[in-house]
Amino acid sequence: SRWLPVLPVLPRCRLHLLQVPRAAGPSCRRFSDLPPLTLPDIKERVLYVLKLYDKIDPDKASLTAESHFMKDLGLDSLDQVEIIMAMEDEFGFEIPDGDAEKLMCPQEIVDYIADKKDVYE
Amino acid sequence: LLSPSFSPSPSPLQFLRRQQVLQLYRKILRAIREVPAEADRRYLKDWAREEFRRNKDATEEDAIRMMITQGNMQLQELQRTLKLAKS
Repeated sequence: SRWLPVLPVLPRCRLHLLQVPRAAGPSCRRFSDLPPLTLPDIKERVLYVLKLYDKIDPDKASLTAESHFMKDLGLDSLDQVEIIMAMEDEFGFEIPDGDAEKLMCPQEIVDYIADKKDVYE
Repeated sequence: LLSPSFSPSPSPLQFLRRQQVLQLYRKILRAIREVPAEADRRYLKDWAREEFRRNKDATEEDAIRMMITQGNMQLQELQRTLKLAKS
């Protein structure tokens, strides 16, 4: 059976729903015209994605920016792969294997994304 | 092989196998992303997760190598099917 060539609908981050109108700008809004990323933004979204992850208890205080996935949160390397894939979905770009396998806590992910997206504040 | 802490330090071969398994898992998940229907994606992701988890404590080199080969075959099958669906 052939699937229809329809693009899958990926879940969009709720922040994308906040289209802030600009005072003076181009009259035609492009889909990619999103508010610029900030560090607190990235951190909030990274933690949001982690709280949605089924192997992490969202209410436990043990989830901090420094929580090591394996040593603190008891996850394994397969979980880590799934987590980084979820981050790719959230932020809309692919993270190569070599980089992905080194990201072991939320802060490292935040720093990596900030670096790749040229976010300094 | 995939448990968080290796017992003694892993041999180079064990280390290589671990890398291969994780890379394969990632490639499979990437292919599954391309599947059009959400329900199918969900099903395939659950299937992949279950398969990899079930075998994650394997230690015998022959068994591990065979599973990696099978996994690669299934990945290729999935990729082939996706290509057909998009043509």
